[in-house]
Amino acid sequence: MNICAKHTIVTIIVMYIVSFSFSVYAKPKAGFGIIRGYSSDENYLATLIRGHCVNISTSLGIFDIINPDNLLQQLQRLPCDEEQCILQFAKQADLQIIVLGTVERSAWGYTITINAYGLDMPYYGKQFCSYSTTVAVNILDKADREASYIAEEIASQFMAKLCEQYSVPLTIKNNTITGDYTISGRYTCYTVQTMYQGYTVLIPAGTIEVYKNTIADSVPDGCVILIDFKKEAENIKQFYYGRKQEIVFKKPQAEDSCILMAFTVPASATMPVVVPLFGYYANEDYSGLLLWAGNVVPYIGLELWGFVNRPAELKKQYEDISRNQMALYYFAWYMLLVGGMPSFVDAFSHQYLQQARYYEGQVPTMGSKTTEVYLALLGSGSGMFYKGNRLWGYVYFHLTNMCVYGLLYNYAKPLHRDETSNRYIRGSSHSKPMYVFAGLLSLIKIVEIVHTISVPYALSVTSEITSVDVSPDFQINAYEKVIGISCAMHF
Amino acid sequence: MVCMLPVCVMLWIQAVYADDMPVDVIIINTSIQTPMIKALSSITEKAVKDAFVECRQLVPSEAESFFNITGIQSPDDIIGKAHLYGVSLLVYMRVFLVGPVYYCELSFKPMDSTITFKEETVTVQATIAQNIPLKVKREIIKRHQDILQCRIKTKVDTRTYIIDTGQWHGLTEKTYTLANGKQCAVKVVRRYTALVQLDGDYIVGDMLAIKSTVSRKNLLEAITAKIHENVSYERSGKELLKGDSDSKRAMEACCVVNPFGNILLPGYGAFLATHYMGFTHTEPEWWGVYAGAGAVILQIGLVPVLGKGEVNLFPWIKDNDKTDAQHHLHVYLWATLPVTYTVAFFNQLAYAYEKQRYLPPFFADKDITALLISAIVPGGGLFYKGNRLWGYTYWLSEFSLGGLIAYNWQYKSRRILWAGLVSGIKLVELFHAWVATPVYAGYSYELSHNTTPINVGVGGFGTELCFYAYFSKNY
Repeated sequence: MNICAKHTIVTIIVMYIVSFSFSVYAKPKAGFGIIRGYSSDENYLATLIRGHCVNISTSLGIFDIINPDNLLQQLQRLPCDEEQCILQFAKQADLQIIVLGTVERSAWGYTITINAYGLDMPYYGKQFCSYSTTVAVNILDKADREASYIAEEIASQFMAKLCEQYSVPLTIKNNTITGDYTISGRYTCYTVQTMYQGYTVLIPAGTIEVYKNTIADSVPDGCVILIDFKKEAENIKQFYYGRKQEIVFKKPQAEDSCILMAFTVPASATMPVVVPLFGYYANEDYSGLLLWAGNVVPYIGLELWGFVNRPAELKKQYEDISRNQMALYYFAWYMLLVGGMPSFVDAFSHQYLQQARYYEGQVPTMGSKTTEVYLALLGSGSGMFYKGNRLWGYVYFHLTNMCVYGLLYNYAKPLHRDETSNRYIRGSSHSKPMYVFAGLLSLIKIVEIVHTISVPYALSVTSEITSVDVSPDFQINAYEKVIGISCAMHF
Repeated sequence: MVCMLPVCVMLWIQAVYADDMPVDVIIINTSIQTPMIKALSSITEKAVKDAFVECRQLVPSEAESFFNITGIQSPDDIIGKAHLYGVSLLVYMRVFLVGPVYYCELSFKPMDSTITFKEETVTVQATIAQNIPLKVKREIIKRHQDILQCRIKTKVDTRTYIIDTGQWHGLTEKTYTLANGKQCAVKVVRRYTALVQLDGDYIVGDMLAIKSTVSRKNLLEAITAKIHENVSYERSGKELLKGDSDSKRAMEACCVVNPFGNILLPGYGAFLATHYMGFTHTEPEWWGVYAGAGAVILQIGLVPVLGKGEVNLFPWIKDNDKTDAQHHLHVYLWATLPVTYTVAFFNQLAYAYEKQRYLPPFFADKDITALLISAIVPGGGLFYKGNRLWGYTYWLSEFSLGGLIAYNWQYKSRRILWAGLVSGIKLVELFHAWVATPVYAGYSYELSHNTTPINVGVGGFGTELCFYAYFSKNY
């Protein structure tokens, strides 16, 4: 008997057992197939992810999960491990969902790809969910617990995506929804049209109101509605985000927030030296250093200018003190006392969040609601930096600084030296623009506070391309012999 | 009856396979499975498969799976079975190691005249094992076309057909324009097939050409980026420093160690400073040492020479023998001494990286780093990418023009002229630093394409009495 025949017999037996054992269920039958890895570390991570996918699905209770060990054994015995064969196997085994994936090592970490296929209506073997991500760790460097946390987070992200994108058709019979789910609400009703053997389409036939599986209107038998699991997806995201905060942040203490408040002025004043050296450089955060150099150094220049050309010095030289010079002096004080705080927060919270992302122990100061509110009130993007959102942090930083300068400029009273009396005559403020800037500043503050409180911490272990990267690209394409210019934006 | 069951089941599986589970390409791994090669050959085999999957035109299958499904006992039977199952292409791959270099030989054997692959053998090579699968993938992707060929499997009615292309190939439920300008409305998509409505009468077996949904350019760029990532990681200077941070060391060497070294030993100090980066070599790039030392002597001695030895040696002392132009030039020459030291250091580093086959820090972001370095140090970005000649050219031109600006400071029109010129050169330099390809031999070798750019040979169409000769050039 050849190998093929042996495998075929086993496959048939398993198909029979699986089909028989699940014929009593009505929930979608999901099988978590092979998540493949080639090296030992890839395999280790793949096994952990698969295990957590199964656990999350089981706890969700919306699928009937096939015994993962048995399924794995049978898949390994299949005569071919191509997608086509596995889909064929899943179809014969009467599964509604089959999940397959790979874990690949790259120079800086792993690339994880997991796909889910739907076998029944409305998918008929099509892939309905594809999740691909990278995680920049070496899993063998991690302790068992941390490795498991990382795998669980990846699994939760995949499961959330799967739940978001999966729909189950429920058939209508005698104006009642059949199936294992009790549903209420408004749904689109579809009629099933077969165009050719097995090639069916769902044609929308209006919306229906359902209350506890009973339909108020009269709907022909055989129509279907599609239910989704978006709520479950949101629950998974919320649960794992909250859980990660509990794991990686030390329990927030009121003293921490008080210390941070007390430390605001010294931190801001020492920012030009402490932040680049002990913040970015010490932690090798060179992108942070570059952003700081581009965004903050010009303001430090203004600060220095304001102090060097302070009114007292100008008075010694008997010069007029313009509105701009007065405003720069006030702005210098603002930068010294408060304006440097956002950079300080950015340098240190970035490092803490980096540790938290990879479960490297519990980090202090982070995760405190009081600190979050205080920094949001302080403004200039501090709260956003605290939560690891640099883009928005710098947006608020510049907006606030511009408004503060506008406010100070219009508040400033220029001093004109009267040569005859040898005295300085004080000018007046620009009241109207001053109020406009004050109003604008208040508005930005309110928006910033609400925005800061509403965004989550940048805690995901996987890399998501969130930064805006506009990259002009001048090149001769060696493959298609095209000379051109391209401009790409990734976000 | 019991004995007949496996046979029936096998026949059923085969029938199902031939009908519902398409196989267009069979990948046959002929590598000798030594312990050194085994893992790499299986990863490369997967990469070959992935290349076809990513291009979404030909459905691949590994030979072992195909053997199991079709019940082939001997690999010699594969061609016959492949014809039977409508396979379009056989890909033979062999991974081997010669000295420190890994090779992979790919042989394409087309079985169907409609596919774009021609009968040829391609060899790729790399010293970093992880790059072999990527380079193999690149060669396969390059050989795909931007046209997706769909075959009509079934005629349902005068306008409705089933084609052998589905979601796997990137098809969605919408209307496509065929290469012949006619419309193809995709009504129902399955994983490997679709139900379509066409203008015109077609028969089973006719081919429809649709524009491919996959951007090969993006796939190829992604592969190049991964190879670059691998080289940057494997050849980073971290190994030289035994776990210490090469980026921090580079900054400290540049900003602290090198300036002091050059003050003590102009030119040669730059070479000594490279040791702080972990290099243990004993031979400097002597022309760089001479150039660095010469530049320092020139910067210190030019104004005293111009003043016939009567002017004060130090720029901050302006005596009556020094003209205003000489004073400005003197300040400029002394102020730019740190730049000269840095250029000398960059030159020695570029030489050391090339000789020792390492790559500078931050090489993963090589273009932006080169741009930033060039913004600070004249020619710095070109030195960073290993192009020392261009580095010196930019430094010399900008340094000389800077000197002319300083010397002609009191003449506004000349000052503006020279400043405009130096700004123009700076802009060109920044652009050049950004787009320049690194010239480190190890790096170029890893990114290089297949070793057989020109293919010459003869072949035959399977069992048919027809032979052909070919000459082709790969780009």
